Amino acid sequence: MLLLEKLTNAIGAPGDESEVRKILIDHLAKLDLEAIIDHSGNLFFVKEGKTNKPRIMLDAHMDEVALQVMGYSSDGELRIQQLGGIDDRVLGSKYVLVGSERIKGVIGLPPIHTQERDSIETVYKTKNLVIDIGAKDKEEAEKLAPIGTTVVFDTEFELWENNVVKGKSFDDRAGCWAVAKALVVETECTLIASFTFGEELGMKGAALSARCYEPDLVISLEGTTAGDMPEVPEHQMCCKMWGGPVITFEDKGIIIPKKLRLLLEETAKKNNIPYQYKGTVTGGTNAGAMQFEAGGTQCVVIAAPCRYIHSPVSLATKQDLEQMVELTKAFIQTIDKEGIPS
Amino acid sequence: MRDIISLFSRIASPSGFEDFLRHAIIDTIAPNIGETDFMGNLIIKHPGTGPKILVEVQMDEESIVINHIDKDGFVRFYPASTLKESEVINRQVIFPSGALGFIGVEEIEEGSKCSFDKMFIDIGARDKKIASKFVSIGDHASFSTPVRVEEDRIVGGNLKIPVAVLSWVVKNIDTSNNLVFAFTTQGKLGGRGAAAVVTREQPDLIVTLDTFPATDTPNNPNKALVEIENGPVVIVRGMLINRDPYATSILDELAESSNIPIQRAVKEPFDYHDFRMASALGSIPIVTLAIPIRKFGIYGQVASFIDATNAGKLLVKTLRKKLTK
Amino acid sequence: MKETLKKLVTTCSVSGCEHDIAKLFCDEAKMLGLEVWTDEYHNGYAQLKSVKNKAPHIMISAHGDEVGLVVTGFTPEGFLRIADWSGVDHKVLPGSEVVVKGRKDIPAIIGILPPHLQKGDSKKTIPEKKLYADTGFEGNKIKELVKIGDHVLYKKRFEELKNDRIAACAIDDKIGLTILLETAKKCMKVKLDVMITFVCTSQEEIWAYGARRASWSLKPDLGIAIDVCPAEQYNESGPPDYVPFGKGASIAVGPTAQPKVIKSLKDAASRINLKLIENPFTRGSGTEADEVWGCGLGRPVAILEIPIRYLHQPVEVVDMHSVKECVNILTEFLTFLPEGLEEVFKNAIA
Repeated sequence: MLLLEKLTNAIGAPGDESEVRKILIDHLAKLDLEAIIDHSGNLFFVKEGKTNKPRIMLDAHMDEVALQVMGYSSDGELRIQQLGGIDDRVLGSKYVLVGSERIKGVIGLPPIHTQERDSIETVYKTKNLVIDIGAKDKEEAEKLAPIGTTVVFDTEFELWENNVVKGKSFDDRAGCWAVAKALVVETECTLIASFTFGEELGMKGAALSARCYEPDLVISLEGTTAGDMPEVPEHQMCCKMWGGPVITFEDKGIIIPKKLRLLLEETAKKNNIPYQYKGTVTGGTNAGAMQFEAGGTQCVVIAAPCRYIHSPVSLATKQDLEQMVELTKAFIQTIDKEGIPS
Repeated sequence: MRDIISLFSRIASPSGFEDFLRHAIIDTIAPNIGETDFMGNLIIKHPGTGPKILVEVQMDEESIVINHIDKDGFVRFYPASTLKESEVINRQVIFPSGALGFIGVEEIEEGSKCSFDKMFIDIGARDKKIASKFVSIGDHASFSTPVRVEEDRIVGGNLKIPVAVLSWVVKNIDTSNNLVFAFTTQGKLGGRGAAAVVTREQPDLIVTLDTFPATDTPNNPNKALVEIENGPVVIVRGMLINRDPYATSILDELAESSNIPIQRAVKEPFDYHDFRMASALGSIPIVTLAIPIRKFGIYGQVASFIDATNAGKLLVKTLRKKLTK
Repeated sequence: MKETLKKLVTTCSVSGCEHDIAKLFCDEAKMLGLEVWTDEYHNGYAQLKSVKNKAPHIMISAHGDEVGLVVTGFTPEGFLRIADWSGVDHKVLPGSEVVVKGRKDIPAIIGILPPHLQKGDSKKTIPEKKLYADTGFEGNKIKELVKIGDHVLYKKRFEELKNDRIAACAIDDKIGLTILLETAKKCMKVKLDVMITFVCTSQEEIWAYGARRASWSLKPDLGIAIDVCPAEQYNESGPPDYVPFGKGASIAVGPTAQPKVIKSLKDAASRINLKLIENPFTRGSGTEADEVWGCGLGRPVAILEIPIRYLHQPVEVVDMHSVKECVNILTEFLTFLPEGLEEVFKNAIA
């Protein structure tokens, strides 16, 4: 879990993923692969295999949901807007890290006993929230955090005794972790590790990635919403923690080709790996952008169930994460043997 | 215990007019026992050694107060305790004299709120003179419902189970601890009787008996939180009032060692009665034992004798225990 | 002082469970040389005797309890139902890290439904009844570790921002305790004409039961409460609720605060070239001083406050410069008590 800890603790707002890139490059150095970075910040490693075997791309995005400094208050606080979709209701009263210097800050909310009766139930929108870094005035704030500085949540990774992991940005550092772990699998296929930029802003880096390497198959590895909370009816639960890796049949961006999906399921069954469906047709991943490229590319999505993604703290289980890697490795080997179904 | 509950549940005791119930309590425990103060509180002292423990229960129930009788014999009122308008319309009420009536409401315009000043009571009197024979200004009337016992359960209005439990306990108590038992008045109006008793007796610890709404009805979102026949409820925290952890843990221990089932709960609405007692003088530690009761509006209760008996047994055991401060 | 504040802030002390903070307070005070004890309400007392015989007795108090939540039940899947216990704003709970004080400390998160599952307005806050704490444990296991009535607290954090500002939870009122200890330290070096008992009180957030008991048992001639008040912040400003932030400590003025004492405190401030900001109140100061004032036969009280941002939220921000000023003013007041206060002390009936 050490790599996962490093990855989730790193700051990587869309457009600012250098810390994450560095950790991945350091970790994968031992595989003796060249690190290739394109103009948008996407990071690639290519593990060459036999030319008659399929080219499989393992994809995950490096960025996390974040905030951006867009102005200042007269008292030296930072006014912000969102990079990626965050529910306004989770922002109040949280610790954040501002910029690459990791300046400590807090998003404050006014005290409850002084709020007007009828506004007690109103949600504070992002545009009405500010970050306090302790700056004395506007000038100091501008110096410390110029307009455009990115801000991420300040949450530390922890492994709890019940094998639950807690941290920020499991979406999609869990995916990055899984790609790094699965890359070592024994196979004759060419494996392309694609760590992309800007998924939270609309899958910006994904299309570039697929266009460049033209893989035969993309396995998109993600952290997806677990919906196993109180009062959620079964049919509305996206997936459950402890339920095993999640196989998407359809989301808002892509319909996974049925034959491909069934092959994935068979692989899981044959290797005794539990799995679950992504029970709701919601959300989207890089695969949604990649499927059109290079004359059409086949994609599957394998995800780990995570509670509370897109908020300051998420939960996942060690077990689900490890099984996600196992399934990916097994699937690569299946494709190696049987090729991609047409 | 059954008989005591059956008896008490049929006696109306509106706030400020709890005499009938008090007499029944005295008759049940022992004739001429205890003293009554000017507010109507019944105090039974049990001198002994150790810290002074006040064991208290409220005798009263929700009621309305009569403020006017008009020339046609209709009676007007104010709510005495916190009542919702919708809870009282068309209900039957009973007066200290025994007279019965129904709460009716004048014609209301669309969209305007139905308030208490638009309500009246019809006691079947032809005019003011006849009405005045049965009803006086300042009377408190309470709501009336028939009572029925089925096997282990009882169905009625305000069953007064905590009062019955305490009476039973006083009858069966056997300990050398220093106790004061209090059956207090005007509890529903914010614990007035209790507050007076507390400032007079200055106890070191207060134990109160109360009821707690059970949630084991169909499709209740809080199902299985508190159920009847699952044992008395130890209230571990109440809104803005902490329960003394030492005393609460004694209740826990004794319940476990004597195989009496108990349930834990957090009391949500703010209880003025408990607050007045706990914040009197220099703050007094308080602990509450409650009987789980299914409540239907302000005047409908279904409960089980089993819980009452268990509460009584547990309380007797607790009061017997030597408490260290 | 930051070290002391950090120690205090990272100790869990939700209203009703203040034994740890009372002990910490007494230990710190004992190291400074004061006589210490606690009572059954978990108030922590530290006394500084006077050189004078029959010296007036001043009780200076700050509350040691913090806001928190309580476990009210379990869902069948093993999530914990929670409710506000001592003044939490349920609006900010989703996405917060918390600690459940069960059999042991269990980390948890206050959960929120994912967007596609949220029916109704996402513009409205999630009602308190729908909030729950997620420990990751499954149904039956969690019931072995947690009981109904156990407390749930914000996760303890202490972060230093720029310009000597601190962001942490429970600055209300651990900053008050810090001021008490720092003042005690300074007063130890001086021969005082008054006897001072510093009290770390309990249960202030739920109507000051601890302070009431302390006042009742000490029967002081004067009570001074050190608490916090809301400071101006972005989008929220204007009298009378808000005091400027970072410009010094404030003093409460109103019907139940003793005017002669207020004047003495202000004089003490000007003697050392500082100023106290006036913070008016109407019915009550909103601090434990109200209960001390009305306890038994009553006694005169005064209140000093530190303006902080984001009061009662999981993250509060304080400016340490204002805190230092408050300590200096209080010490100056205690060392040089003017004659006029004799009258005030005499008026307090025991």
